[in-house]
Amino acid sequence: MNSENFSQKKATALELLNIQLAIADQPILQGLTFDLEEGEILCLLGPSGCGKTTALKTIAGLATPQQGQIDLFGSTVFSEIRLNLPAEQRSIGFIFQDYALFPHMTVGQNIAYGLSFLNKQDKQQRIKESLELVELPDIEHRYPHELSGGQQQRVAVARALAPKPKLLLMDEPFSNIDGQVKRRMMADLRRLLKEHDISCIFVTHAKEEAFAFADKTAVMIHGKIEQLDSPANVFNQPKTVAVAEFMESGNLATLKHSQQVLDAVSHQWPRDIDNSGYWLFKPQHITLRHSLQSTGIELIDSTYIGRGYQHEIAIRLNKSNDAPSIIWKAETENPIDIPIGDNLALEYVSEPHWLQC
Amino acid sequence: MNVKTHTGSRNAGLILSIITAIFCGIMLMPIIALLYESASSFFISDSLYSDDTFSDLADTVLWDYIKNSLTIVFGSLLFACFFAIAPAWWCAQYEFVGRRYLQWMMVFPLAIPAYISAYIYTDALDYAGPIQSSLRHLFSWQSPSDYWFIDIRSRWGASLMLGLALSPYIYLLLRNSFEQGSQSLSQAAQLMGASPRKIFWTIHLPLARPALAIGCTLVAMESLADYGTVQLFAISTLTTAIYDSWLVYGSLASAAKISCLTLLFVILLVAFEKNSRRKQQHFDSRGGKSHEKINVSKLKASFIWLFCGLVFSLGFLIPLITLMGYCLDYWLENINTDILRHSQSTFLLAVTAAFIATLLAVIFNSQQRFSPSAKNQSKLSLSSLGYAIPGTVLAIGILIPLGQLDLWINQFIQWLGFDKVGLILSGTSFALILAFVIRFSAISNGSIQAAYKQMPNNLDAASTMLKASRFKTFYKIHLPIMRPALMSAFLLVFIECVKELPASLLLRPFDFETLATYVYQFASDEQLEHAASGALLIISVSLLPILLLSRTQRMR
Repeated sequence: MNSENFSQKKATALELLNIQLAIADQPILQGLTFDLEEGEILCLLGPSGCGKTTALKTIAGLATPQQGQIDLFGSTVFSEIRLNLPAEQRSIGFIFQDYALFPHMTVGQNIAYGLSFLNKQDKQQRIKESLELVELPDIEHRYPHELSGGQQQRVAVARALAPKPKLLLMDEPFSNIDGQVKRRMMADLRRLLKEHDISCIFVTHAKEEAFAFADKTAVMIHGKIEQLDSPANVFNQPKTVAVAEFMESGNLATLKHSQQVLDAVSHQWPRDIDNSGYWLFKPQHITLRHSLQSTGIELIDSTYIGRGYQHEIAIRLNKSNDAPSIIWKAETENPIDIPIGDNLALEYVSEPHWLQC
Repeated sequence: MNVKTHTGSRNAGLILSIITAIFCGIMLMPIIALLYESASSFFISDSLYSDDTFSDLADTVLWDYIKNSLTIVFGSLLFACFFAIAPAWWCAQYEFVGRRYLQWMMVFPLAIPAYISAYIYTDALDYAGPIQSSLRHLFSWQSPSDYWFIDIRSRWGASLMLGLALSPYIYLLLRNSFEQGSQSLSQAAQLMGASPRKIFWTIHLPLARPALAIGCTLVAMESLADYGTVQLFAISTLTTAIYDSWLVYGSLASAAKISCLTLLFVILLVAFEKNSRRKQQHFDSRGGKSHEKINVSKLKASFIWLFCGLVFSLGFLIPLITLMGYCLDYWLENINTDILRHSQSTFLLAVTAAFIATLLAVIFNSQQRFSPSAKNQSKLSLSSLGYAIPGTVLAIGILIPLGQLDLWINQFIQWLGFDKVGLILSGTSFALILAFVIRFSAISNGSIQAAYKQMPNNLDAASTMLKASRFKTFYKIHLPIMRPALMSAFLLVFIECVKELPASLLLRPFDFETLATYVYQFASDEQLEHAASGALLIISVSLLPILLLSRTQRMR
């Protein structure tokens, strides 16, 4: 209940063990297991409906799983059905997707709502500090509806951080803010969390947010964590096909297809891989050459994507003309001077990444 | 799931659970009593139950009563649709001079109880009334045999009166539905080459059909439940039969049986309404930008004003002016202490009932909010059941169990050696308040439920994450946010209680009048002139929600 319970200074802030949760016989979380170090920012990344918001609510105590264990700073807060510390006693800050600011209260009253353990003077002091923290010092007496979306988000941050939680949970906190503002807010908030050594889990479906904000990324698919690693590793070295597909890491080819592709693509890698699994070819490592002969590889489309050009390529899976084909993507810095529909010769200039099946 | 929570909140939850369960029992009591009373008289033939009133009725006039009731329901529907559909379309679709006023004027007839219009038009269209007199004078007719004149005191006359008074239900629902219809739908139809007429018949009307169906069910239920108008016109229907069985023949059993018969029709209507509401939810999710209204020509605008003005005059203006005239002509009779006394007691009664109904609505809805479950949801639906039960039926359903309870209480007190206390439940305002709460809880429930629906669930979660207990969440978040809904719930129930006639007639204690029964007594004695100020009071109270509604809608 008070912070003494959690002050055993362990390196682990949060530990989830085999969390199972079903709603009306529909499994939502299927053996969710991971842990979070103190002061670390973890991103729960996944497609909509993968259970990431439910995971967050489970940690907060707003949803009750059927099985598993949750430890918070060394104390067990949930264990099967024997122990379930109510949400209001877990000392966790939560920022909702819609911010859930109380519309009938001023910003100051919103922040004071979670500070009933302080006396009037300290409360006032804490409100001031919290608003300064989010760089909105003069809005204490305004109402939420008088604020812009970005300001509302900052107030939500201030309100969640005011009781000084050791763990902050955020549900799609940036999804209602666009472009420029979003990037600055992410940078500001990340600095704030790091300065105050606050552990944080945030949920999103946008991988760019994970890249910019998180220390670690857990890709969640169908209520399970498929891979937990640094954002770069998750993107560049996906462990499973599902992760690679969700992260849009690159072109995938099965062994069977690869044989065909190996024949088609000029190769600089060992050909004798006999494992069952997938190969991942990064779009930016493919070079394209115009070919006047029929290669079974055809340029379908080229589009400008800002940092360069993206090309769609169809690779026929055998020599016959009506054979099925797979679609790959390649990226170049400069436009290529090849007409759509013409044949290509491909070269892969790096080692492809190997995925276990 | 076995979950550790605060003991305090668990106890509070248990108490709430018991309260709501008890009220659900009270809610069901009238219906169970009616079924029991009807059934037991079939099997038991001792002196208490051996009355042949019902079999006499069934052998002779019951079919006529049913026929009358159904004719009036059907007729009211026809008239209400005629008065409501076109104005709803015009006000939703077109822009013309004074539309902002007209669209609210069309709601005003709701404020005039049908029996008051009925009295006024009977008076005006009477043989000795101004219209026939001047016609006779004009054409020098001598006697009634010289000419034919409409007889307002008929089933169709009653339908017209009810249709006028109830048409705003259909008008409001349809206008909302037409206005919500997204512009992109009609634009899409237009781009595919549809004419405005085709767009109306193929896009707007089908989309508004659930709203029309709900409006029609409301009108049908109200006209089936009507007592004042038909009694004034001396038309025997199911409701007057219930009333007469009890008050004239003193047979509770046959009153109960006719009540059960009436409930059968009500159940059909409720089933139809539920079905339509489900469809409406489906249609309502269409979203999109709302219309810009189309400007119409002066000619068309004049026609719209002519038609709507006629409905407004017939349904509101003429009765109002007539009542004011009565007031002026008989001002001495109209200013007396009786009216003041009855207003006071009505006010007290209505405030009590409205307070209880609002409180119950808050308890039921917050329980469902904090621990959503199928059980709590069905409790909530059960607590809204009473709106469908006609006042006369409900009154009989309340009289039966309360009378029995009174009997037991008196026997018990005599056994203890004291004097009889009399009818302390069925013979006091208690019965009336109970009837009001049961009948109008649906209104307060609806208001609070809507407020909770608009309140994001995340506010509760945010409050919990900031370490607030359920009580604090309720007190600091829910209550302040739903204050307007609380006000409107209270006000709407209050107004309905003031207007309520049939249950008040049956359940009012001896020598006790509500404003409505007072005015109605005078009307049925052909002396409404002497109680016109009371009628005007009822009308001004009824206008309140319309004015409030128009203000909130304008703000939007």
